[in-house]
Amino acid sequence: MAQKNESAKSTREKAAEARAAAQSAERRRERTIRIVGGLAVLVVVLGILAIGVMQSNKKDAPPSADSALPTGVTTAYGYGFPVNTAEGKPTVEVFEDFQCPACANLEQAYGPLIQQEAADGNIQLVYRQMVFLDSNLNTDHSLRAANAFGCAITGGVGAQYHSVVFANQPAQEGDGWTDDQLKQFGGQAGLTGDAQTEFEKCVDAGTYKGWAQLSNDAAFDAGVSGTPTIFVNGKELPTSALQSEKALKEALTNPQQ
Amino acid sequence: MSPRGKDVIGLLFRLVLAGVLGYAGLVKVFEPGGARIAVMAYRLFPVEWTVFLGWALPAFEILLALLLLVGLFTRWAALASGLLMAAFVLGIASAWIRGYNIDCGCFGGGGDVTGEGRNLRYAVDIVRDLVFVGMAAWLVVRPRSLWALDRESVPRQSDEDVYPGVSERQV
Repeated sequence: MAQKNESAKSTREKAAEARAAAQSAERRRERTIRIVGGLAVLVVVLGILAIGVMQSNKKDAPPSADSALPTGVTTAYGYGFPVNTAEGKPTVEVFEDFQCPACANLEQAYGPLIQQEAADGNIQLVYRQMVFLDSNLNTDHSLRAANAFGCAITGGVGAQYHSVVFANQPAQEGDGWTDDQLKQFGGQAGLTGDAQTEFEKCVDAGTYKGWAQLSNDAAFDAGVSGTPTIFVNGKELPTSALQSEKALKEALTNPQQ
Repeated sequence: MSPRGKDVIGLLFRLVLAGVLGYAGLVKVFEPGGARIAVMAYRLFPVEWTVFLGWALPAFEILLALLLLVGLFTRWAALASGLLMAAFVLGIASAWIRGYNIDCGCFGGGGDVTGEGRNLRYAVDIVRDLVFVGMAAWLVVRPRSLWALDRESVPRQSDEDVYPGVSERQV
């Protein structure tokens, strides 16, 4: 009886030892899986990230500090186009993408009022062009329109051209404009003869595409993520100011500090 | 429910979360500047941070997706996923409360949009994210699931493997 017990015990001990060995082997295997698997996952993530960053940089290729700038445009106002000069008056910066439907609505509702305030010298108006909708819509319409806008600025009809493009925004977002349309808009903005010929050459050459990118990036750096956005003296205009002409006029010309 | 059934549910939740996070991360990583515009639209972070966050966010999402996909560090990956989703819920709610009309940017896009259908959109985004939080919570509580690299997820051959001596006591 005792003997039997002893042998049973030793069998049990052996089994326990074997189990312990198997367990520690299992634990080592587990650790290897975690380390190797974790590293593999990390490598894949970094690889994907690198591809994304590279693609992004490629698309953003044109902007460089020595891109041609439309006449009157400088790094002041983040490459924006100062429509008028009104020293000491509130600075009104309008961030827009020519393809953005809400921008066309803003332009239709309040564009004339805003331009009139600028013409009257009550505000310092700056148009800051963005082209980010191209990547959302997978088009190049925003970029081409912004380039043509740059050509019109140099041709001296920037503000007018701005209005014409928005007035001719396609009903369907993303449909955009042809190069011919963008050239015709120059005539509608008031360009004639040699000036129009110059303008068309400029549109074809894409002279200000680099500027359009610079302007877009500067808008991002100013914290603008969507269009239209209006800054009055560097502060975002609340949407409540867009409820009526009176409210907007007040908010533009008498900004609260 | 049988442990096997729970393992299957664990696998299901892992795959759903991995799919959602992986898709969301990949879409963002292949947008110019990553998710920068989407991050910026929430107006929660200083502009200087948005460049970093624009890349870090999708990278983190892809990392979590891969871990959940293969079932590695399941509990921790699920915990991080749940917290991330909860943060998204807070972010969307804060944009809603502060009156911004933004696209949540959950699956690419992002930025300001028109106010049309705004309440419904925010509500759907929040409810959806809360469902994902629930799935993540399950995996935090019970990380074991079918077909996972994690050791504790490997189906056990018998209870004795895990609790030495248990069968002897039962005899």
